[in-house]
Amino acid sequence: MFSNSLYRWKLGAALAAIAVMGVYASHRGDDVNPELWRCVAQPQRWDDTRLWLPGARIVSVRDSWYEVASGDPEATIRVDGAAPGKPGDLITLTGNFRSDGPRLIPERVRVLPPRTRLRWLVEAVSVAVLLVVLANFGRHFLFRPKLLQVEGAPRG
Amino acid sequence: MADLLTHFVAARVPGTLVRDGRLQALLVIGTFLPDITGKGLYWVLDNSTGSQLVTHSIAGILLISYLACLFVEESLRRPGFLLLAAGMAIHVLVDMTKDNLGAGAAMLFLPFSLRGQEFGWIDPENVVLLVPIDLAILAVLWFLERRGRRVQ
Repeated sequence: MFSNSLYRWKLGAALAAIAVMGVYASHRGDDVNPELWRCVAQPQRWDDTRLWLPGARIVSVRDSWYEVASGDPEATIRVDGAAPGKPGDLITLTGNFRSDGPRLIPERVRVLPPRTRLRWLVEAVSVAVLLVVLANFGRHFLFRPKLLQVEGAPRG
Repeated sequence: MADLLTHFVAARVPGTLVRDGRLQALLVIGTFLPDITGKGLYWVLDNSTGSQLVTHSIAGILLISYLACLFVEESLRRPGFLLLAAGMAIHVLVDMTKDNLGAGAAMLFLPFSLRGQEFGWIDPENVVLLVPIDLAILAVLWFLERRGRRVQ
C-alpha cells in the first residue's frame, strides 16, 4: 500500500476517489445550509429549509419582526419575533425558511460581540503561521541536489 | 483559513512526542491540510459547502492523507500517513469545538450521512481570545524543548 510498486495507479486512484467524493459532496451538499440569496430568489424551492446565517446585520426593527441582511451577494429577509438587538448589530442565527413572505422562523439567535470585527487580526496571524509552517516543511522536505550528490557519491 | 494558530498549537503539543523532525513537520502540516485542500477543491468544484464537507470528514481525512503521503520517500510513508491523518483529525476536532448553532462544523460520516457534528463549546467569534493563550502555550513548549536539548 505504501511501496513504490504500482505507484502511478495508487496516485491516480487516490486522486480519483477524492474527486468523486468532492463531486458527490458538492451535489448533495447543495441543499445543506443554502445561501440566503438563493432562498430569496427561489422561495418555493427552498420552502421549509433549515438555514444557518453565520453573520447577519439587523437592518430594521418592528414590534413582532425584524429584517436582517446577510451573504455575498447580500440579501435581506424578515425574521419573526422580537429583535435581539438594534439596527446595525451583527447576529448569527439558525432558522426555518418559509416561502410566504419570505420569512425566517428563528431557532437559535446570538448577538455577535464587537470583537467579531477583530477577525482580520486572526486572519493576519493565520497567514503568518502558515508561512512559518510551510518554511519549516520546506526545510525538511525540499529537494537538495548537493546533499544528495554527496550522499550518493561512491565511498572509499 | 481562520484560526490557524490554534490549529497549529493543537498539533504542536502532541508533536513534541515525535522525535523525528520530518515526521513532526508532517503532523503539523497535516493539521492545515483540511483547510488548504478545502480551498483547492473549492477552486475546482466552485462549491464551498462541498469542498469543506470532503476535507472535514473521516473518509476525506484518510484519502487526502494517503494521497499526500505518496509524495514523501517510501520509508516515511507509513508513519507519514498516520501522522498526516492524526494532524487532520486534530484540525477537525478543534473545528468541532466551535458552536455553529447546531449546524455542525464537520460532517464526519460523509458520504453515508450529511448530518453535521459539533461539540459546541466555543463561540466562533471568541477565537480571537485564544490568540494570547496559544502564544503562551507555544512559549512554554519552546522553553521545555530548549531545556530538553540542553540536558541531552
